[in-house]
Amino acid sequence: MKNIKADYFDGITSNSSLSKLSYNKSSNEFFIKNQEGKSFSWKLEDLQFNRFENLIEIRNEKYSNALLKINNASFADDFYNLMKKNNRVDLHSLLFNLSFIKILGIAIFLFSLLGLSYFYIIPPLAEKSIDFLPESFDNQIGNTLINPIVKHLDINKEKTKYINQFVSKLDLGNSKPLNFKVINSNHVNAFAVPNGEIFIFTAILEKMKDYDELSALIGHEVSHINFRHSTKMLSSNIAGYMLISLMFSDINGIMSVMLDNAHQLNSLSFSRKHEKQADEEGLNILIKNNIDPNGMVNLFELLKNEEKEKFTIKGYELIGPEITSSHPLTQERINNIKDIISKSEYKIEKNKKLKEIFKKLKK
Amino acid sequence: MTIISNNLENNSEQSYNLQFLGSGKEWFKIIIINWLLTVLTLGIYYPWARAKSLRYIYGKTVLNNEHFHFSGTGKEMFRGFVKVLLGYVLLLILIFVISLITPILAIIVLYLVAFLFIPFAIHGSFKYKMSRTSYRGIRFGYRGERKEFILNFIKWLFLSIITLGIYSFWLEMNVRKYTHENIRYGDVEFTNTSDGGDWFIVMLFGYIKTIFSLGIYVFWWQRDIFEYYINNIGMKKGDQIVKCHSTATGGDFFELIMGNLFIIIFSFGLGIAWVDIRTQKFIFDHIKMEGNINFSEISQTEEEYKDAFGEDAMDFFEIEI
Repeated sequence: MKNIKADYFDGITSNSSLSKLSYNKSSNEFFIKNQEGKSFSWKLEDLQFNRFENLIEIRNEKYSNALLKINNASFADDFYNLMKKNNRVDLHSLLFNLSFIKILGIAIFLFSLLGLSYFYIIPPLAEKSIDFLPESFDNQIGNTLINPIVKHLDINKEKTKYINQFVSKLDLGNSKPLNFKVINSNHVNAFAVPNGEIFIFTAILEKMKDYDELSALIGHEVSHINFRHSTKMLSSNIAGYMLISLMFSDINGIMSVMLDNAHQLNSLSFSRKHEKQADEEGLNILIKNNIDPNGMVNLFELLKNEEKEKFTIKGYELIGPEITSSHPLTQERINNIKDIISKSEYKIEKNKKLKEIFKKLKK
Repeated sequence: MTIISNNLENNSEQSYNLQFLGSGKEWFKIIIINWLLTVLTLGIYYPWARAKSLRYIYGKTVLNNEHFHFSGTGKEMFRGFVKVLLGYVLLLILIFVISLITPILAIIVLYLVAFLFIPFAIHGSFKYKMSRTSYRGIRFGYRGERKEFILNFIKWLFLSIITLGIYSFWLEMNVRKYTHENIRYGDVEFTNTSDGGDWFIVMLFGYIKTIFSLGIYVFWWQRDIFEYYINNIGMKKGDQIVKCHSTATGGDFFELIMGNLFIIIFSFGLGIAWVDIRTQKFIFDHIKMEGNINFSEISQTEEEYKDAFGEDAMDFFEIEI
């Protein structure tokens, strides 16, 4: 690299002057000689450069505005190699020299990594991570969710007393105190809140024919609480969002809408999984209490034709895992239950006390 | 190739050729490498990635065959990023503590801080970005006063609130005017002739026409907005001036917007790099500069400035100017 033509901008005015550039290998310096014959040197270790194909722009950290511009194909290559040899090319720029196909390969690899961790690594990790959260956390979320709504609910005090009597006769395998409430409402529904409160609507009680159906409903809702489904859902949602935002922090509007929707779809399937688990664990509760497990099937059959609209209380969308609405009772769920019952061993004992209380609840 | 134009007459008409030379392919490479390094470093690389992106975009912006340059570094922006993060954490703690005492007060404080933060971030971003931008070895600079700008902003915001948002059109243009008029390129001053009233009319008529044309006018509305932005920007140096004006038509915007949508949808979002570049090219291709400032006769006037607070603050809260 000797006597290379360069445009020199001195950083004081925007005018450029024609200069000659030579490299001294032994001292690792560039010597620059301008038109007027003045010369100076730039040390290699102070140099920064931009390359636009054959055009090289060289700047000096010591004189941040001065600029040398060289438009010369062979110089561009030589200079780049020199800088590379002296570790003056950063990793980003080295990667930038990879072919487009290789970069596309990296992109596909990253996407697969993201997909893999999003669907297979994050959810189980997130579910496991809630073991570190005390149960009081569930109570706190439950309270935050239900407190603004609860004053709009019309609680039936008498039936609430009966339902708590009913529940006291059952072994629900619960690790925290449960608090059942009956709500006067013509919506056929019930839902569980992570703080241990379970709301059952009068309309659903009216539909039921026997206490095994009520036990099935209670078993289902209690299982949501026992298995901390709301907290798992929250944890996996947050983890998923964190992953997405880490991966796509620089993404624009349209992409983020697409990702949001994908995320919601995924959490919907996650909650389907929870519904299935609540069905199965609810069934176990029936069997453990010697109640006819077919009560679950009967319950689902009678709910199957219920309206599937999402319903709200005074503008609040119903929270917590519910028995209908967002997760319609599919034939698949009913078949799954039937299948498990046919494979299980169980004995049924008529329970007069439960029957008695159930009758009072139906009144 | 250099054109040394010392001999030209001071007031002779200059020709300006503004171009954006970026390519979708290269930009895609930058995005993916940024992504890779950010993921591998669990996000720490992010400020360096920002610096790489900005350097590419600036470097590919060319006026009369000379490239612009962004000299900001990842290290600077990392420092700014850490500051913003610390500030954010402190704020959250403060809000939490206040909310234990009176929740209402916590909300008020949160809004207050958020509103105050916007002008603070705008100022910082302009100051930092301009100081790191150069062209032909001459730095840009931002001369706005932080205190003055924040006080003005609060006044404009207050007027916007009491007029139920109507004044927000004036607010928007006042911010543009203030920031633009404080930009320097050496001894060249930027000018901005925006006015809230004119802007209000552009937006109002655009809205009405879009409704009555069942949405079709939206592309022409975009043209009007772009035209309003660009046509009000200028530069002056002594008695020399440069005026900018838009050459984009509604049809051009139709082509740009529909094309971008088409690319995004059919590439499942991967074509974003090409959309960015197309848009950038579109902008520079449709700005025409006319005047008599000779950009090879500019003197350095702006001092060096080192603080990347605003730059990251803007990014952190995703404020777009």
